[in-house]
Amino acid sequence: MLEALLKYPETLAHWIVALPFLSFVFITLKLTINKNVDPKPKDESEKELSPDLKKLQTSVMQGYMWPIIALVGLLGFLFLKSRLGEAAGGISINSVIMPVIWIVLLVAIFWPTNSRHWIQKYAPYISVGAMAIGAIIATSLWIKTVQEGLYPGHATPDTEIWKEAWKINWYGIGDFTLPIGIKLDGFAIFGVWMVTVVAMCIQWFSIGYIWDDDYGRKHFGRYFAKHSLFATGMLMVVLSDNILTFLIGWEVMGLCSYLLIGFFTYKPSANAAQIKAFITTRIGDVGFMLGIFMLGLMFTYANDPTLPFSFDFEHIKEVLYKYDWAKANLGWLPTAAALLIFMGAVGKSAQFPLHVWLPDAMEGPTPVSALIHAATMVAAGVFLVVRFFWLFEMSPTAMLTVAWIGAITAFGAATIGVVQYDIKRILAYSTISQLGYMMIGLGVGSATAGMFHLLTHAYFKALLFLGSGAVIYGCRHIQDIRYMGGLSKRMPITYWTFLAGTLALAGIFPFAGFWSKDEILASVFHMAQHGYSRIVGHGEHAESILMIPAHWSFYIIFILGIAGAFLTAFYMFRLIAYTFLGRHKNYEYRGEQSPDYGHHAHGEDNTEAYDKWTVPPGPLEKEEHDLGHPVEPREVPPSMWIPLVILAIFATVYGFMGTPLFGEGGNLIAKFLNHGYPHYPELDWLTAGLMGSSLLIALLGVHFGLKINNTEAGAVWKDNLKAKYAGLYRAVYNKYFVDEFYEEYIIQPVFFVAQMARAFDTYIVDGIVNAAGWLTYMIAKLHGWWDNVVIDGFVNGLAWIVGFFSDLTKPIQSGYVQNYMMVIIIFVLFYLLSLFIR
Amino acid sequence: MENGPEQDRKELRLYEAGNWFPPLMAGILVVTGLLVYLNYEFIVHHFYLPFISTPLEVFASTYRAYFLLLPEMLDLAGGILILLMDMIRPNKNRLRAPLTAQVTLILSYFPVIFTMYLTTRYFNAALGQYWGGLETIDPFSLFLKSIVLLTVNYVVVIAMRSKELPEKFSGEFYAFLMFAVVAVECVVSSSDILAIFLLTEFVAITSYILVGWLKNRPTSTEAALKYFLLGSMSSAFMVFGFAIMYGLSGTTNLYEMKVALHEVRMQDPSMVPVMLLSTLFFMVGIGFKLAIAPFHMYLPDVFEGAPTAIATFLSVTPKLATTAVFIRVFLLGLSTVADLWVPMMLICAVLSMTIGNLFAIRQTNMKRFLAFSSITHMGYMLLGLCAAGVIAKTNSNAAIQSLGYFGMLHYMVIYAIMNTGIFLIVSVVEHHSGGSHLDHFKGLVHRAPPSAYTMLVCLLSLAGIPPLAGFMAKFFVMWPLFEPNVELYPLAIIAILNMVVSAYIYLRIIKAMFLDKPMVEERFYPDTTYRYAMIPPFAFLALYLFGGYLIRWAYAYASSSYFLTINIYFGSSGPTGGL
Repeated sequence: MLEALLKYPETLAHWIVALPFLSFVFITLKLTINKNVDPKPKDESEKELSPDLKKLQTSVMQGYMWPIIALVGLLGFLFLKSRLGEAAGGISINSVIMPVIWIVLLVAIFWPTNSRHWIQKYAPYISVGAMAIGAIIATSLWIKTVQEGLYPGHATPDTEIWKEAWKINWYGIGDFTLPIGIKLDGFAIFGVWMVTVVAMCIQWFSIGYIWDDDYGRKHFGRYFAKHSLFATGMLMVVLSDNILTFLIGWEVMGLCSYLLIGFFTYKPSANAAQIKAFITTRIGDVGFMLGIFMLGLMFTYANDPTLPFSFDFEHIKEVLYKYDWAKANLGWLPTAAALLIFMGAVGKSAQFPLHVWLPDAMEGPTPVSALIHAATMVAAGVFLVVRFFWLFEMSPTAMLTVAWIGAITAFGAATIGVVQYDIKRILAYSTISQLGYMMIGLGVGSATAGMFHLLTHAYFKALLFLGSGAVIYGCRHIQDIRYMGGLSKRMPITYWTFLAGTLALAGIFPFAGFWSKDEILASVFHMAQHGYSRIVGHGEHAESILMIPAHWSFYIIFILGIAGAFLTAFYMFRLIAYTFLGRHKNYEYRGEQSPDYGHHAHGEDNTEAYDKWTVPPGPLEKEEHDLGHPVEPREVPPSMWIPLVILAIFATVYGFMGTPLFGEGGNLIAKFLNHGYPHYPELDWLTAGLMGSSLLIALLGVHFGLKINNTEAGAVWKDNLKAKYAGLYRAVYNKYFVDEFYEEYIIQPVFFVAQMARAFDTYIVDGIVNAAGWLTYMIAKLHGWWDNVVIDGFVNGLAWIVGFFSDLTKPIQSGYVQNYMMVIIIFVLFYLLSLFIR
Repeated sequence: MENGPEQDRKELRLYEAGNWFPPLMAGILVVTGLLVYLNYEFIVHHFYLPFISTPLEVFASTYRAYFLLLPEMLDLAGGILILLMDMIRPNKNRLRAPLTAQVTLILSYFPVIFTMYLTTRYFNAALGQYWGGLETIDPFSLFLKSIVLLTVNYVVVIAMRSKELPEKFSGEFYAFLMFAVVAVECVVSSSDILAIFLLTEFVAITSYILVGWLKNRPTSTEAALKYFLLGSMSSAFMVFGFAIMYGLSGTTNLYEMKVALHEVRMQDPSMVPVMLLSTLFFMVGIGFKLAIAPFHMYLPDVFEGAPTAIATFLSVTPKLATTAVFIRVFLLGLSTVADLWVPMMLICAVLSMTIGNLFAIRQTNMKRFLAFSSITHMGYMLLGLCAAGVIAKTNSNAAIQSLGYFGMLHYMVIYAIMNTGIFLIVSVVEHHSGGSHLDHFKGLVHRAPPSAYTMLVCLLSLAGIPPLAGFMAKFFVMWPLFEPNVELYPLAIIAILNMVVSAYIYLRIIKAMFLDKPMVEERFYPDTTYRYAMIPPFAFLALYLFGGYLIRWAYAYASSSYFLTINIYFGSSGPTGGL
């Protein structure tokens, strides 16, 4: 079906980015252009609907949304296909699709409907539709890639089209040009497939989740517009072949995370969280920018200094690799550049010590958290390291830094996750921990393993977050796991899908997380045994250079990783036990006072009950009052569980791509995510042993997680442990006081300096300025006298003269035609006379 | 929520916010516009040409001569369609006719831009004379055609919402407008005095009808009559001049006339006075159409009497056509006798600048004021022609000559945009305050801030204040005056002095808008169409300094001096090759 279409992979990839962006533009313009007041008076009948009937109506509407989306996608594709019959005749695909879409978009934007009302309701059709089309395109690109094994570097004469980048000259001044384009290597194809599918599922889920919220329903269009823009940013990052568009996508994501975390604008905590997220990632971005400048510096060193800097990844790589930095005594330059760029990844991917924003980002709506944690924001940091992997390879120091930061983060965050009670915060710390694993994988030289874990993690973490969203939806916006329990019977679909995600995250065979996490641990082991070597040159000239020698300290990273794996399994099954197993504890806890809800930065004594902004005032009580009988947690409507099922399928089977079951001579992941990068270890007895032991460790974690949290004896044991290690518990519970440290030693001193600066400004600088102003004023007064009396007299005199002449000549313009003709004739005669008399 | 004062206040706030959305949108559009501006090449190649290329290329290569007249034919068809619709179901919908006109105009952009593409890509694909030498399709005419279409879009926008135009027979109004546009489009590509005469008459006759459209308004009828009488006289002059030219050269084609006149002059110097006579008579005829100084007297009356939309039309569109005629006739047909017409042109330029300014000083009616302002600007525009004429005779330095008519073209484009912008605001104020006296503009900034700021930018641009487009226009038109072998310093000094005076006259309006108290305090909110229409002139004039692209583009087109020298297909790549 897609044969003809797939002749233009870059064009297709361009549409993957363009469609969500267009839907963002479309929704935003619709919201902006048209009348700002809701033109439709509220329907009387709508008022009379009882709340549960209204809910039913809502869920029915959401349930019927998916066939419509599917239909739109199908029609779109049939249309494309019918037009593509002509493609063989020589009309380029762009000539058909581009104008049609642009014209449709323009017409739709300026179509005079009551569109503010309209767009609020139907925004998701547009953004989910765009993402769905993107997902279809990405999937077909992926299938094509897998079937034919076509990817850059392995191009045959038949497949030259894959080498032709979709490049345009974005900007040019004189000889300086700025080509931007799309890079479709294995990383991009797998990445773009993941981003589109996950983002589509998340947006689809959001329809029901956001519609359920009073505030969200009023800002429906805005939500989906931002969501689309967010996805656009990530797709741009994934598909960029140059730093510039990469950076644009990166910053777009920064902006969108700010906007979406603070989506509930009435919550002060959300506001604080959005600012924290933006500023923390910005600190990393400063490093990223400096790193880019450093690259520019290196580029001019290695190249002809008169040549302008190229932003193309491949170009920079070629130029930088040709130069012998160690010989020129400039070995510190690659290290500095790599570390600065890594700063960007640390900020974006929430690595220690800039991880503090991610848990706070839980203030956003849950689907937003899913998007940030799975497909977009944090994945971008890892992807940055992947894209600059060649630069990290130039510097052993940078590689070691990446690995160690990853190890510290992976272990530390896992310990914090063990003691949290907020369902979203547990998942947030697990994200930080898993990102740490990815960094370990990259740091020990296996970009393949890091990227593989990024992909599997995206699917199962999106699943888990959406599952937690479903739980929150079901429990009417209660997030504390101590209020839950016994949900497995009340929300079966959510439970089974959530369980699939949990097993994947815990690393249980055969779920996706098992394969990818095992890849990383195996890579660390390989590093500890053999060290890390890089292959230089191509083909026959390829030779291996030992970069980092084998060292025992890598076993520490390995042990930290194994311990983290245990903790991951432990806290995830703790979550399962609290949330889904046992009996429903909501009413018990509501009877008590001081439920120790939520998490507070200062001290462990959380006696203040509900944070009134985090938990909407008594959702259950209100509903019970409305209905007249107690409300049970409810299962989510189909529009919300279908995405869960899709993601659960991915979380279950995705990992098999990393096994020799698929692909010839290796596996798909090794084949496509390995180009130009060192291979990770082969399957042998050692690897099998590692797999077995990590599985064992994870199963231990599962056992203890269920034992401690789901049995009477376990509860006693837990309390004993808490009492025995009270100090440690306190430290872990308060996240090792990192926030407090920042508050005390960074934020307060900065405030102090700022206040000093303000005082200096107010008293000294302003004093000087005011004195100067007073002097000027006095001079101006003197000058004003001169101006008023002398100059103005002259000017006014001139104006009077001009006006006088104007009045003199005015009568000529009498309004009589004969006069007008006369003037013309007189001119002609005068002119002729003056010529002939001469 | 119940309707309480709280709710009312909220709604009011929303309403006010709604009125600030257009400026917000303007911001977005400006950014988009700038992107388009900088990435013109990209946009054309990815969003326009793929769509248009295959079918149009086939059509263009098969029926080239017809294809090149496609814009005119489309507009003609649009006019006839409007008439037919009006005949079959009159007064069905008052927006039917203007929207048809608008769509037709927009459709006719496609062939124009596509032909531009052809001329730049396949250098000589479209260039040359067609229809027996009556029409010459070259970059010059294509450029002017695109600007003409743009201005007429604005005229239709203004007419569409106008209160003064009767709804009855509105179809005929737009049909006549479309016919006038067809004629204007043909004029800009005419290269034959016969075609020029017939087509300028076509424009003039439709204009007479349109000026007198408001039968119930005495000034309108009066204006039409005056315009008609004076126009007939000027046409008589022009046709007399043409007759003598034909008698001297034996041809009506301007390319052939250039050579023939030169030969006649070389062989028989006693023919020079006759040549002078023909030149003078032509000058009178065509100068009347452009409303330069001694032939300008009708313009204020016509502007005052005509509907605002038609005043807009007259102030811009036929003037673009007339500029094309000036360039073609004076710099092509009469370039070998340039020493005969340059002094005449100098006198007209000086008179236009000075008289326009002097009369504008005490004007309180905005339309009359704008009439005089346009006279002044035509004077500035002629500076470029003077410089090019001087060079044409003394030294055939093509570069400086092209500087001259590049200045003219550039000036006309910017003048067109400034004037449409101002007339747009004038029509807005007329629509809401019921008149276009200066008093109606008092305190406009308190009544309709976006309109006032748009007007501010247009006025400052007309006055030639540096960062705005009008300054660039004046700069480029005065540049050739200082070139070697031209050295028209006195002319430049007079122009600069006039610019000082014109700053005064425009600041007078600005003072009224920004410092005076309004007659009525009440705010008004222009129609959405108007609000969006304000954005492009504002953005264009304010941001022109950043858009070197248009300058390069216009320069590439205007300086393609081959349209003055070569009379049939040519093979050189030309300066537009790299575009």
